[in-house]
Amino acid sequence: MGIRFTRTVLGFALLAGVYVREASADVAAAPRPGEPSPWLFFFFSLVAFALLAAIAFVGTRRLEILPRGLQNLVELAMENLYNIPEMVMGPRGREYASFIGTYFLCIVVMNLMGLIPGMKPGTASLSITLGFGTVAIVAVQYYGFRAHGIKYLLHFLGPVPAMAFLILPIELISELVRPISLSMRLYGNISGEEKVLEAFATQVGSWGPLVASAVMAPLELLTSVLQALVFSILVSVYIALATEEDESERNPSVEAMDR
Amino acid sequence: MAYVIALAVTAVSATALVASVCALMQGYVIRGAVEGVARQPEAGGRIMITMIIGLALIESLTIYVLILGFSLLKNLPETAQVLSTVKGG
Repeated sequence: MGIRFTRTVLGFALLAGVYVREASADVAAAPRPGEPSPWLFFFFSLVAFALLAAIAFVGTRRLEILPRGLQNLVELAMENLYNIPEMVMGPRGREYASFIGTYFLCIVVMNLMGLIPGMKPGTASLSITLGFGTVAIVAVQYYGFRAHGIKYLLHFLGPVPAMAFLILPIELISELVRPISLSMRLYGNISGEEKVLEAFATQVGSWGPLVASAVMAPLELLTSVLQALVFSILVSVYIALATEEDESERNPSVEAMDR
Repeated sequence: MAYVIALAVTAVSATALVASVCALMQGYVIRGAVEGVARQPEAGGRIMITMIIGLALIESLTIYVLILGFSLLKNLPETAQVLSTVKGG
C-alpha cells in the first residue's frame, strides 16, 4: 500500500470523523435561538478545503523554473511549510512535511476565516478540532509502527524495564490525552475569539464595534496563525518522539561504510 | 437562587485564578527567553520560537478551565427569568 493510499485513507478518516461526530453530538444539543447552527462551521470548513484545493490546483498548473504569480506564492508557502517539521526533527522531517503542512494550512485558513464578516471559523466547532486531533494521534501511531515495527509498543514502557508496570499507564494516559489537549487548545482559542468579537460587536455600548474591529480582530490575527503553528509543531514533536531512532537500532556496519 | 450564584461565581473566579497563575508563569518563560537572547543574539529566532511554543502550552491550561467555565455558564437561566423569580419572591 503506497503512501498516496495511506494519505487518502487518513484524509477520508478525518472527514468521516468530523461528519459522524458532528451529526451525532452537535445537532443533538439543540442550540438556543439566535445561536448559529452547528452545520455552519462544517460548511465553512468545506469552503476552506475547497479554497485550498483551488489555490493548489491553479498554482501548480504549467510550472515554470522562474515562478511568477500564484506559483510564487505557493512556493513561498511550501518552503516555510517544510521548515516546520525540519525545525523540530532536523532533515528527516521532510517526509512528514506534507502531513504537517496540510494541518497547518487547513487550520490557518479556517482560523482566518473567522475574521471575515459573514464567515465562521471551522475550528470553532469542537467536532472539527477533535477530528483533527484524533487523526493526528492515529497518524502518530501509524508512523511509529512504520518506523519501528511491532517494537514501537516498547516505547510505552519507558526507559527502564524495571519500572515498566508503573510507566505504562502513565504513558498510555498521556498518549490518549493528546488529542483532547490538541483539540481543546485550538477550539478554546478560536471559539473564545468568536465569543469575544461577538460580545464586543453587539453588546458593549457604542464603542464596542470600534474596539472589536480595531483592537480584538488584529489580536486574533496573531492568535489564529499562532495556534495553527503550535498545533503543527506539537504534531511534529509527537511524530519525532514516536519515530526517533535509538542507538541500538542503528546498523554499525552500514554506518562504518560512510566514514 | 444559591445555585445561580454558585455557578456564576465558580465559573468566573476559577477562570480568573487560573489565568492569573498562568500569567505569572508565562512571565518566567519570557524572562528566560529574553535573558537567553541577551546573552546570544544570534540564537534569537530559535529562542523566540521555543518561547512561543512554551507560552502556548501554558496558555492551553487556562483554555481548559475557560471551556469548563463556558459549559458551566451555559446552564445559567436567562436574566429575565431570574428577575421575575426575584420579583415574585
